[in-house]
Amino acid sequence: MNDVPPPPLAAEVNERELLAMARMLRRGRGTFVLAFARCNIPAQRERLVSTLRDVLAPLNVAISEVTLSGLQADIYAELTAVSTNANGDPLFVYGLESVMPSEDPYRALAQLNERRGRYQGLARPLVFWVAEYVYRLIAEKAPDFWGWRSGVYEFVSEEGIARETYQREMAVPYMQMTGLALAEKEARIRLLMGLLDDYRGDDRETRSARSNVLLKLGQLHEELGDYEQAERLYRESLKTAEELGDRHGFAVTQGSLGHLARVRGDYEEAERLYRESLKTFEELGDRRGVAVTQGSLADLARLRGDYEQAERLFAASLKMLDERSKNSATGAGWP
Amino acid sequence: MPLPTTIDDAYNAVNPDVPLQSGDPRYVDMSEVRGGDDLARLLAERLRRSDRGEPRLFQRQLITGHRRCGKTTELFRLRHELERHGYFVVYFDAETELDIADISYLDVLLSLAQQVELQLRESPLKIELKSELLQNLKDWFAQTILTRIETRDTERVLETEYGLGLESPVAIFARMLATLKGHIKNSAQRRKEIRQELERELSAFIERLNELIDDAQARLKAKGRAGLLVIVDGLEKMLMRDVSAGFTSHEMMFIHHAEQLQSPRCHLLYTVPISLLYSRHVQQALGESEVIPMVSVYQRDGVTPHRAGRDKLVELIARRLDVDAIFADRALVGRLVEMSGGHPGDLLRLVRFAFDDSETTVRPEAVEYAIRKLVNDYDRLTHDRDLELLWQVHREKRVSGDPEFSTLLFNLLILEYNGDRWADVHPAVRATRRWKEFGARTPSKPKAARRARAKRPATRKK
Repeated sequence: MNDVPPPPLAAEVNERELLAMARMLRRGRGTFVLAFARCNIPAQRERLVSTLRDVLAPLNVAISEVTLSGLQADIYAELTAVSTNANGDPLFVYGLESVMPSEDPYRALAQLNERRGRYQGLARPLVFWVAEYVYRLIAEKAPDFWGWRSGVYEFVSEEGIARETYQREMAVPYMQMTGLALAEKEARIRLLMGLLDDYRGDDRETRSARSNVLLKLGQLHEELGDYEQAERLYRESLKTAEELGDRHGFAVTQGSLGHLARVRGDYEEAERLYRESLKTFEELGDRRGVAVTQGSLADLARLRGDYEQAERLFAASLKMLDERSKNSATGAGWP
Repeated sequence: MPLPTTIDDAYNAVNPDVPLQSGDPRYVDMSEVRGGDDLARLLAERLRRSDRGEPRLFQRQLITGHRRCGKTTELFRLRHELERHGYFVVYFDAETELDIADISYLDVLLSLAQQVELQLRESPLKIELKSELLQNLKDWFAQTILTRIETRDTERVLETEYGLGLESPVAIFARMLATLKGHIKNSAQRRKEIRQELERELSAFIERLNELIDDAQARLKAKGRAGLLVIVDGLEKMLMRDVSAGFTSHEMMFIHHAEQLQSPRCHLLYTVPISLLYSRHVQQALGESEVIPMVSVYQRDGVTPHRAGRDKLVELIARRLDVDAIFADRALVGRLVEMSGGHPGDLLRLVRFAFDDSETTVRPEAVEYAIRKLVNDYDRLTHDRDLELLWQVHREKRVSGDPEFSTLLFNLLILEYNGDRWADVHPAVRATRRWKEFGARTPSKPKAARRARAKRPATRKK
């Protein structure tokens, strides 16, 4: 393990994990198996689950699903309320983070820890689909429950167009977030938090830098699946940009918020934010911003199944990107 | 029974969740490679010794070990061993009997009495305790602790939900526990009050419990039994959290209420969290402690493989499945053993991880896949701030009583090996990139020198 191989492609990693999970679901049928699937983007999760269903259908393994919501006090009761368990088919559990209220996020986890003996009675594989930060909380705060796991599937986030936007937008060279090891992302967060501490001045330059850092931090938190924190950071960045009259920065952060809405599955809000962002870029004559935001809108249309619209927007975005790259001295694209 | 020869069949054989019963063919005696003595034999000897003493003393024994190190499997063996020597052993798991998240010593004591009564009655000896004593306890509880309304409510619930007749003396424990655990409709506040009531009347409460236990002891003696041992398993799983005044829930239970936990007049064995092991107070307070250590996979130098230990762990797998039929190469099991750090739970988990990546045969790629999974998991638990301390443990091969080690032990980042208590960092932590980078940045320095350097005022600021 001394030399670090280049990170494999997200698609390859995900396929291997998917197969591994399908094997566990087949072999563990009818017995209690605790597994965790790490996936930070709900939309991606939906695609993965749908593929799993297809893979398992010929084997007559049917997946049940339950989404926890913050209202339930008893997770176990929620899980047992899901019926159709005659064959010991697997149960997928979503939304664990929603039962972790911010004032006492550990209560729900404590509940998992204390009742773990009861889960055995479920006699079916139990898969918690969680974002990275939730998985980590479970490991730390519900160690006995976590210590029960015999399957862990780590799906890698697919790189989105919006993410590329930010990557190029940053003044500091932007690291490839998806490929980074968790530890490095965290190190990055700490570094940025440190920077943020330094950016306390009231002059324009400092505030502008602060706004950029907030934006980046938001992106890192989004990458780790901590959407609430990401939103908080984006909103602060947005406010600063507005106060500075930085229309460009404002539009960029709106794009980030749009992306966050997208990964949370709120497509209407995502579109609204992208459109506002696009409008600003157009007014500023920022062709790059326009092209990228068109790309985001195209991707959104694709997710919604509006392929005509997606194609139209992708084409427009591409055309603009193409023109830019022709004009660019390096030919590589971005100044 | 023939061993499974396919992964599909072997999947359930490597289930880490099921402790082995005494006499299970899958049991591998680890005592000689764990180091230290055979726990079951050692404890049996201690009990007999304290029984011979005059005045008769009761043995209070603490058992600890890392999560899933095979504690319960060893306790089952101990029970078997002691039964062979004529003891009546009451075993119960606090995790299944009690609310492990919000547990107090009162729950433990009450459960203990309940289990003694129940297990005596249901044993082949069919011993029934004096009903007067049960009735006394019931009346005392109803009169002293509960309000009349609560008594009525309690009885209704017990009758309808638990199917227990009001006149059944057995119902008393169910009733009291239900009240304490809040199963009967009462608020968290009222539950707290009930506990406070009990605490005020503590000596009376304990005296009544002990009357029952004395009665049990007398009846066992009449049947020719050597004595009574109660094993309370699962207490180490109680949640660690700060309760009050800088004390954790663990310290409240095992240090502040040690005296109460010691009060039952019989031999007692409690499992305690490994993080408490290094607390001097707990040993003073609660008696002798024994660790069920990991089987070491390295010699104490941390480099030379510990052959005998590894062989035993390979055997642990080989007792569960046909290694040659399932693994492309027998050495692959050795590789998993090495990365498990000697922790049986992690070893079985690694095998399952490798199965996930394998269709029919476990190949080297699947083994590396499994290891990467475990390394990622330990990477998540390792904080940058702990790296220095972890490296120190790795270099010095021991942990001190400092509280800062508690969490690291609790989370298995540090594993404890054999009798003379040496420790090392989990191999999965040592395989993380951060671990290696930190080690490369900070070459080995004696601890004292580092401390001295840290104390020196920072005058050379660049």
